[in-house]
Amino acid sequence: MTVPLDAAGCHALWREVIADEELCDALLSGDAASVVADRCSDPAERSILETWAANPAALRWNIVNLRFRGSQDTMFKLRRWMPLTSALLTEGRPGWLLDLCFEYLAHHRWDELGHRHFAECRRFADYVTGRVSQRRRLPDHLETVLTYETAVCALLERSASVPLEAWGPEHAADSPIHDLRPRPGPVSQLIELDEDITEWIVNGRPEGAVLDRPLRLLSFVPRLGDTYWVTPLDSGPELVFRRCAGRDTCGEIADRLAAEVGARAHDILDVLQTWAREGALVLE
Amino acid sequence: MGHIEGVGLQFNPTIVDDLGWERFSDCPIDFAEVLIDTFVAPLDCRFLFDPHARPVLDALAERYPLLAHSNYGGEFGFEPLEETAAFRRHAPFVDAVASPFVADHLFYGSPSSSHIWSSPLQFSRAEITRVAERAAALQDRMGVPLLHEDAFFYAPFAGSDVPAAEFVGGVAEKAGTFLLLDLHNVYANSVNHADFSAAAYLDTIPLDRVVEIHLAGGQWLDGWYHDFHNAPVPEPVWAMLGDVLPKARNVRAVVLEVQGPAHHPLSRPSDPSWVPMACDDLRRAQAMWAERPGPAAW
Repeated sequence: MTVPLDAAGCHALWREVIADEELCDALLSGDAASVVADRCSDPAERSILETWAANPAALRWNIVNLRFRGSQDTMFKLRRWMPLTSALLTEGRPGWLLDLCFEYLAHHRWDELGHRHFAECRRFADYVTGRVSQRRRLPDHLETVLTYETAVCALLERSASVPLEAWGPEHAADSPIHDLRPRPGPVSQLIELDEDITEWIVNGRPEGAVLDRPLRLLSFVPRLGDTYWVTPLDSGPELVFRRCAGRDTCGEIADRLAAEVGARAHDILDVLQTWAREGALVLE
Repeated sequence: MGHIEGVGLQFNPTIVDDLGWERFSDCPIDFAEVLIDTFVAPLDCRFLFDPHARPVLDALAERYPLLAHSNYGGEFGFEPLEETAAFRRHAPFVDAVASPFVADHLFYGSPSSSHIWSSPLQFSRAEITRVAERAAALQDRMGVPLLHEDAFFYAPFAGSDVPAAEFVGGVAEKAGTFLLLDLHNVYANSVNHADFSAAAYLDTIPLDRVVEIHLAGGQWLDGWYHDFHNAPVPEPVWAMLGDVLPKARNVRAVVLEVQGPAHHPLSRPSDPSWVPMACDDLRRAQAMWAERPGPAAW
C-alpha cells in the first residue's frame, strides 16, 4: 500500500516541478508517464505527479503566472536597487527588462530570491557579466555602473549583520570632538570608480554627462535611520577619512594633516564633526 | 492602535504608482489598506522601511487611517517562523503604523515570493493543525488580531481531502485567529470548480470570525475566470455582500481591490477609466455598509 506524502513532501515535490522545466513540460503535455517513471521511484511521489498531470490546465495557469510574477518581481527589485544597470542594459524599455528577467530566472530554475533583494541584485550582476556579456556587447559605462550599484547593494546587505550597538553612542552636534578617536561607521565604505557618473547617480537614470576621470564616493548607513547616504569625496576629505582608523584623536588628525597639506586644522575638525553627526564616523 | 471602520481601498502599486493615489481623493474612502511588502525593506539589510517607499507611506498616513495587509510573509511554509518576512518585517510594520488588525494568506511560503499565489495550502486535517500552530504564534508576534484570507486557486493542492471552507474555518478556530472573507475569491472558485459552492462556503465558515471583506472584479481568459482585480465588482459578489453583511456582525472593514497585470501578462492593464470605476464600486459598498445592522461589540 502506498503511504501518501505529507504536505511538506508535496510542497518539496511542487518546488521541484517549478524548478525542473523538463519535468514540468512533461506534466503539461499529458504524456508524462515515461518522464515520471525516470525521475521518481517513490510511488507516493509518482502518485502526486500524476495528480498534477491529470489537470494540465490548472497546472499551466499556476506555472505561467508564477513565471510572470517572478520575472516582474525581479524587474521591480532591479529597478529599485540597480536602476542604472537596468536602464542601460535595456535602453529603458520595460518589456526588454522583463524578458531579461525571465531568462535570468529560467537560468536559475525559477528560484527567485524573494525578500533577499540585495542577494538577487548581486546574482543578477553575475548573470550579466557571466552570460549576457557572452552574447552581446555590453553598453559603454556598464562596468562602472555595475561597480557602483553592486557596491551600494553590498553595503546595505552588510548592514543586516551589524548590531545597533556598533554605531556607538549618538554624538551631539555641538559636543567637543578634539580628544575623541574617530573610526568609520560600522556600515560604510569608499567606492572608487574609473569614470565620473555623478550626473547619472543624481538623475537616477543614465542621462547626463559621463566624465573621463575617477570618482570617489563615501557610502554609509547612518545610525538608527532607515536610509543610506552616498556622497562624493574629493581628494582632501578622502585623505581625512582614510586617517580615521580609531587610533589617533580628531585633534591629532587635524593637526598632522594641517601640517602635511597646509589645510586649516579647524576646517578638518569641522569635516570630522559633520561626518560624526551624519553617522559616517563613530567617535570613541 | 488605529481605528478602522467602514469602506476602504487597497493602495497597491497600481493605485499608488500607475494611476496615482491622489486621483482617488474624491472617492468615498474611510481608510487605506496598504500592502506591507510595498513598504518594508528587504530581509538582507537592517532597515524596517524601504527608504524609497517611505515618503508615500507617510503621505498616505497623513490622509487616511492605515490598515496593513500581508502578502509575502511566507508564514505557512516549512521554514522556521522566526525567519520569515511575516515575523521579521510584517509584525514590526503592523506595530509601526498602528494597524488594528492584519490579514495574511493561506498559501505556502518559501524564500521565492513569486511561488506563493501558485501554492495554495493543502486542505487536510494535518495541515489544519500545523498551520493553526503557526498562525497562533504569528498572531502573538503581531500583537493584533490576525485574519486569514481565503485563497483563489486553480486547483486544490495535492493531497487535499477536506473542503476549503472546513479548512479555513478549522484553522481560525483552532488558532484563535480571524478571517478576511474575499468574496471575489469565493465567487471565482465557484465559477471555476464544479464542486465548489459559494453558498455552501458561506454557510460553513464561522462568519462571527470575519473581520474584513475584500471585493474585486476579474477577467475571463481561456475558459477560466481569474481573480485579476481588473474589472468592476460583478453582481453575484454584490449579492454575496448583501447576504453576508447582516450576518457577519464583527466585520469592521470592506476593501476594494483594483490592480493591473500582477499575475499574468494578458491581464487587462490599468487606465484612467479605472478611477471612476473604483469610485462607483466604493460608493455602492458605502451604501451597503450604511444599511448594515450595527456591529457587535468587540
